[in-house]
Amino acid sequence: MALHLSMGEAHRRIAEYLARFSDAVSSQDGSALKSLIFVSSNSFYLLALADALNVFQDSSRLVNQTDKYSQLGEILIPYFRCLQSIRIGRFVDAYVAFEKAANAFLQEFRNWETGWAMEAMHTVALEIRVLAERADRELASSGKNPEKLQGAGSFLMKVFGALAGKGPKRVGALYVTCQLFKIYFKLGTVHLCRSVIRSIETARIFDFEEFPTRDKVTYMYYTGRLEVFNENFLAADQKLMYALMHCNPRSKDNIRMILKYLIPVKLSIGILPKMELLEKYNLPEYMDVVNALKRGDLRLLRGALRDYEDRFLRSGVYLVLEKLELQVYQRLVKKIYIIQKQKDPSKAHQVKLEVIVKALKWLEMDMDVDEVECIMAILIYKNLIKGYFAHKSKVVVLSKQDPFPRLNGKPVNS
Amino acid sequence: MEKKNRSRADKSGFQRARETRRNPPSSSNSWKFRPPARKEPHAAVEQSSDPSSSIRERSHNDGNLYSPNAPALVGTCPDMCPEKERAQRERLRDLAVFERLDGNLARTSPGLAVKKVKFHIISHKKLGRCCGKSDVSSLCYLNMEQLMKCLLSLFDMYDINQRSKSIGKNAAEFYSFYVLLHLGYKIPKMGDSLSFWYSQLALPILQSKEMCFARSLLRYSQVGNYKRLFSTIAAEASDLQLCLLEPFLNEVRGQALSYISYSSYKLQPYPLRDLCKILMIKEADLESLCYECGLETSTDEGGSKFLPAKQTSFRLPKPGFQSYSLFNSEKNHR
Repeated sequence: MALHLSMGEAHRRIAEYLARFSDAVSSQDGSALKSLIFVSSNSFYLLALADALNVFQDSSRLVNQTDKYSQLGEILIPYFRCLQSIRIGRFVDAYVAFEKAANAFLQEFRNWETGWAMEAMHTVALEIRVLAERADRELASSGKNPEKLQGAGSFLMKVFGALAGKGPKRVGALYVTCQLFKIYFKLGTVHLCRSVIRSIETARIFDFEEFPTRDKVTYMYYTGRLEVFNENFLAADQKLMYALMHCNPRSKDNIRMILKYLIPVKLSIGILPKMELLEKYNLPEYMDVVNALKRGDLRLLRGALRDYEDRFLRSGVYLVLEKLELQVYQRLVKKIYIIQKQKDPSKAHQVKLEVIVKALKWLEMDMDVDEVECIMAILIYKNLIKGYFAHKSKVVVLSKQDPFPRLNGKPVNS
Repeated sequence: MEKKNRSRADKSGFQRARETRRNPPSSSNSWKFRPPARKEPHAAVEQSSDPSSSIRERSHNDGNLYSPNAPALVGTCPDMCPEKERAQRERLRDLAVFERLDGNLARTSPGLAVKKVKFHIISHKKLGRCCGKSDVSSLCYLNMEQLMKCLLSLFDMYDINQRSKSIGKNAAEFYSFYVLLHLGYKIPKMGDSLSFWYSQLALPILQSKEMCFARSLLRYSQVGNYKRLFSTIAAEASDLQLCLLEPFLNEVRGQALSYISYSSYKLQPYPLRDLCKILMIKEADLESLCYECGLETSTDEGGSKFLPAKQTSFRLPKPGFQSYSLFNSEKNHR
C-alpha cells in the first residue's frame, strides 16, 4: 500500500494531520485530540498517516517550519516516530518514542488550566501501557530483560501526581489509578498499589462517588482482589459487591471476572451461589465446591482443589477455598445429626466419633478417632458446632439449641 | 583520628601490660569502649563492649597497635557480653566475609545464599533449644528476620536464573521454608500474602514434593488435625525442614491445648498421656508447656496427669520458651 503512495500525497496527509492537531489544541477540543492520538484504535486514518510518514521520511522538517506546529513539536515529532515504528512492527522503538511524546504531552497538560484534554490524557495513559506490554513481549522473545511496562508505571505515577491534587482535573485520577493497577497486577508488584489507594481514599476534598462509574467499578474490582489476597473477607465482599452491582449488566466478561473472586468470598461467609449463576457465567470450577458445602462431602472439595489447582493458585483463591474444609465437616456432622434425629430424637444430640469415622470412610477418607476428635475440638472452638466432646466416651455432645450455628455473613472466627 | 582514639583510650583506663592478663579484678577502672568514629561495614554488629573484637577493628585503622614492639592491650572491664551472643556474632561476621563473591560485598551467588539460609535455619533451631532468656528471644527474632531476608533474596536469584537455565533440584525445599515460616510466631512478615506469593510461583515448584509437604502442614494446622500434622512432620520432613519447624512446634501444640481445653467435657479432663502421643512430646515437657501457656493440670489417685477443661487463662508460649523436639514414643525420636 505504501509503495503506491506519492510524495505529494504523503506530504498532504501529514500537513492535514498537523493542522487538525493544532486546531484541536487551540480550540480545546478534547475528543478531537483524543481521536488523533488513539494509536491502538487501528483507525484507517492513523494507519494511512503512518504510511505517509514512512514514505515522506522528513516529517520533523514539516513540523519545525511552521510556528504553531513547532510549539507542539516535542509531542509531534516523537509521536510520528512511534507511528512509523508501529507500522513496521517494531514495538520497542515505538514505545521509546511514545514515552517521549507522552512526557511532552504531560508537560502541556499540566499547563492547561482546565481538564479539557482529559480524554486525550487518558488515551495516552492507556496507550503507554498497551505499547509497553507489546514492547516487553518483543524484548522477552529476543532474550532481553522486559522493563518497559515498569517504565510505563513510573510515567503513570507522574500523571497521577498531576491529577490527584485539588481542582478540576481530579475527576480523571481514578482512570489513571486503574491503569496503574493493571500494570502492578501484571508485573506482580501489587504492594505498589498501596500509595495510590491511600491518595484516593484518604483525601477529603473529593467524594468517591463523583468519579465516573466505569472507573469506580474497575477500582473496586482491583481493591477487592487485594482484600481477597489478604483474606479480609468482609472488605472483599463489600468492594466486589459494589463492582458487581454497578457493572454494566451486558458486560458478561466483566461480570464473570468479578464473580471469579466474589464467589470464594461469599462461600467463606456462608453464602452459596445458585448453580444457574455458575452455569450462566461459565464458572464450572466452583460447582463441586458448592456441592461439597451442601452435602458435607469432603471428596468434592478436595477434588475441585486438585482439578483446578493451577487456576485457583494463580488467581489467589486456593487458600480461601481450602479453608472451607471446616464448613464441610460441619455439614457432615449436621447430616449425621439429622439422620439420628429421624431414628431416635431423644439420643440424636450425641454423636459417636466412631460414626463420624465410618461416614468419612464411606466418603473414602481414612481418618481415625483421634483425628476426628481434633477436628471436633476446633469446630467447637470456632463456634461451628455448639457443644463439647467427651474424650473417654469418644462422643460429641451437641447443644440442644442451634447446635450448628450459621455463619450469617461473617467469616469463621480465626 | 589516631590521636583522638589513643587519648580516649588513655582516659578510659585502658591498661598496657607486658603480658596479657585475662579479666583483671579491678572494677573501678572498668571502661566502655566506644566503636571507632569511622564507619566500618560491621560497625552495626559491634554493639557491646567486647574488647577483643574492638581491638581487631582498630587494627585496620591504626597499624601501630599491632607492631611487634607495641605492648599488649588488656581491657579492664569484666566480660559483659554473653558468650553465646559473642559466638553468634562471630559466626555472623565470618559468614558475611565468606559469602562475598570476589570480595565484593554487593554481589553474591545462589550457592552462597543457600549456605546463609542453612546457617540461619540451624541457628533458629539451636536458639530455640536454649532456655528462655530475654536476650535469646530477641536473637530469635533477629535471626528470623535475617532468615526471611536471605530466603527472599535467594528467590530473587532463582527468578533471574530461571530465564537462562533450570534452577537447582533443591530449590523446591527452599521455597518450602517460606511456607513453613507461616506456621510460626507472627513476626512482621516481609512482603505480601501467602496467596499472592503462590500466584507468582511456577506450578512445578508448587507441586513439588517439598512444597506439597509444607502446604499440607498448613492445611492440617488450619483444620486442627494435630495428629496428622505431627505424624506427617515425623514421616516426611527433611533435616532442614525439621530444624525450621522445631521452634514453632510449641506454639502449634499450645493452640491444640487451647482448643482441647475449650471444647472438652468438664467431667472428663483429657489425659496428658494420650495428648502427648498426638502432639509428639514427652509427658514431662507437655506439662511444662501447659504451665507456660497458663494452663493447670490435675492429677488422679493413680498419679496420672490430666488437662482440665474450660480453662480461661490460656496464652501462647512466648517466643523465647524452650522448644521441644518431636518425640515419637513408638519409635526413636529425631
